[in-house]
Amino acid sequence: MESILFTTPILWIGYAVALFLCVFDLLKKTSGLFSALSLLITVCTTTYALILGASIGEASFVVLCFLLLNLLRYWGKKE
Amino acid sequence: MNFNSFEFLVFLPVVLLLYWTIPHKFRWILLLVASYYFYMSWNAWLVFAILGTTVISYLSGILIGSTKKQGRKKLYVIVTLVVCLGTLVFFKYFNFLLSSVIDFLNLFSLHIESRTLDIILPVGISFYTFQTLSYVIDVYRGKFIPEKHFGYYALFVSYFPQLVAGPIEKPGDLLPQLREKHFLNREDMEIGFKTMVCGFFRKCVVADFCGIYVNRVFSDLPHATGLAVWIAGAFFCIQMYCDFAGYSEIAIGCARMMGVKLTKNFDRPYFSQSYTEFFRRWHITLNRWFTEYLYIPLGGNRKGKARKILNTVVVFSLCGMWHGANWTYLLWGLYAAFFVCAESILPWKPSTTDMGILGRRVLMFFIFVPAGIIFRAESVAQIGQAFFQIFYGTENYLVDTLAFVGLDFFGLARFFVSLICMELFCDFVDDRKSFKQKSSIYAYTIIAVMLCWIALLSTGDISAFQYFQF
Repeated sequence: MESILFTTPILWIGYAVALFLCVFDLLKKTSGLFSALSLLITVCTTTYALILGASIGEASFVVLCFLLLNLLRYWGKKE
Repeated sequence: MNFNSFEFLVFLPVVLLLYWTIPHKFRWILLLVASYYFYMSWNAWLVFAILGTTVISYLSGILIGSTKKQGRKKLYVIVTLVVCLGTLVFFKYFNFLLSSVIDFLNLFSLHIESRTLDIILPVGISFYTFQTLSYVIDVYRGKFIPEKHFGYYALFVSYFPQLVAGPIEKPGDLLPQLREKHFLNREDMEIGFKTMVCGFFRKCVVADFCGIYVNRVFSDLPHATGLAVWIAGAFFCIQMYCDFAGYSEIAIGCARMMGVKLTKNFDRPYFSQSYTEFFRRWHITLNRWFTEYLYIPLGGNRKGKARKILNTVVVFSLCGMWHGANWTYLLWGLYAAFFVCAESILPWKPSTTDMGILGRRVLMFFIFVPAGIIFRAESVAQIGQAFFQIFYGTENYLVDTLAFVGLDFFGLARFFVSLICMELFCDFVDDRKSFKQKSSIYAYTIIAVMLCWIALLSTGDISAFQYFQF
């Protein structure tokens, strides 16, 4: 499949760092600063991916995955 | 002014800021002005329709409350019903009725030329008309003391968060809250904000995304594969739910930020095990209205099985037609009535095992898909075309179908991830502990930014809410 996300290593690094920070924040339950940093890196990497020619579908899928990760902290907290 | 428009992003903070800074005794004036401004942003002239309905129902309530003669009270109620429903029928159904009569007469070779009047449908007319009727009927039944203050009553009819697409509130639930003095507190603001974010997610991310594929299939129905029509039907079911539930959540969140608690309108309808249960979870306030003011007065289930079936068919037919002036809505109502009646006749019990519940839910979704196709179709002929394609359409190969619908790997993956997110959003809204933590501000900011980002990447334009047309 022709995909900028699958074929550009610099994007993998960006997303990997963002993912690490997000998961670290999720597991350690820190103040949320790492998640904010993760968000910043995700947005920057996705913007770069779009500049490189990634499709809107690809880009929105990745951001959606990060949103899902951020929402996981609320999982099962229903009253 | 749509909820998902830039104007609303400016309008709401301004209203909230003023609301929480001015004294309580002036708040109703602010909200009334804001509500009428909100309504007039669609079409300024149509304000006279809502104003007329408000004045008539207000006077009717006062007159009913001031007389002790039962006959007089009944007369006032009938006059109000005729005027308010007459206004609704004129704006919404006149052209439809006229063209239906002409079509019928032309069956006898009368050759009458088809004519229509250039009528603009006032936004939300079905919603505010039903709300005013519930006020008048509740006053008539002695359940509610008539509101003497015209300003508060006008605000009850036109309260902007729920003005154009509900939830349809009962006077006993909303009017006292509008009169009550509210104090700014973090819990209300935070729950309101979270509910709104969840609503925006449903609308901007899920509903608008599904809408792209639904429109693609329905705009080229004769060439669609059967599976494509089926997928479009399933996507439309999800689109409709996310669109309307999204609107309701934005409305509820918006009101909550002012300290007002509106009625929940959706409760995970596609988790139902039966059609009857579905209507207890879908558009709860409208179904409550039909049950309370139509089904029960008709006799409900108190007069035998045959009468119950008749009442169900009448209520669902009218509920279908409430959605719009088209025979497709009537068919949708009859389809629902068929299953609700069948469930009341057949020995049916909800499953208690996990597998049984899952099986029932999947089965029910397959039953909802044809209802979605009927509801989405623009004409009866298009319904016929859609079902023809399902049974006799071109080959159903999955690859051909996905190519026709326009779904690629990322599209499908996005769809499923967004469904999981939607479920997690429910936990996000219902979590009542996070607002006590300082870190919640970070988390909310992140979620809001990501949401904006996804929404921008989703469709690139702002689409109106589906229920505005009803």
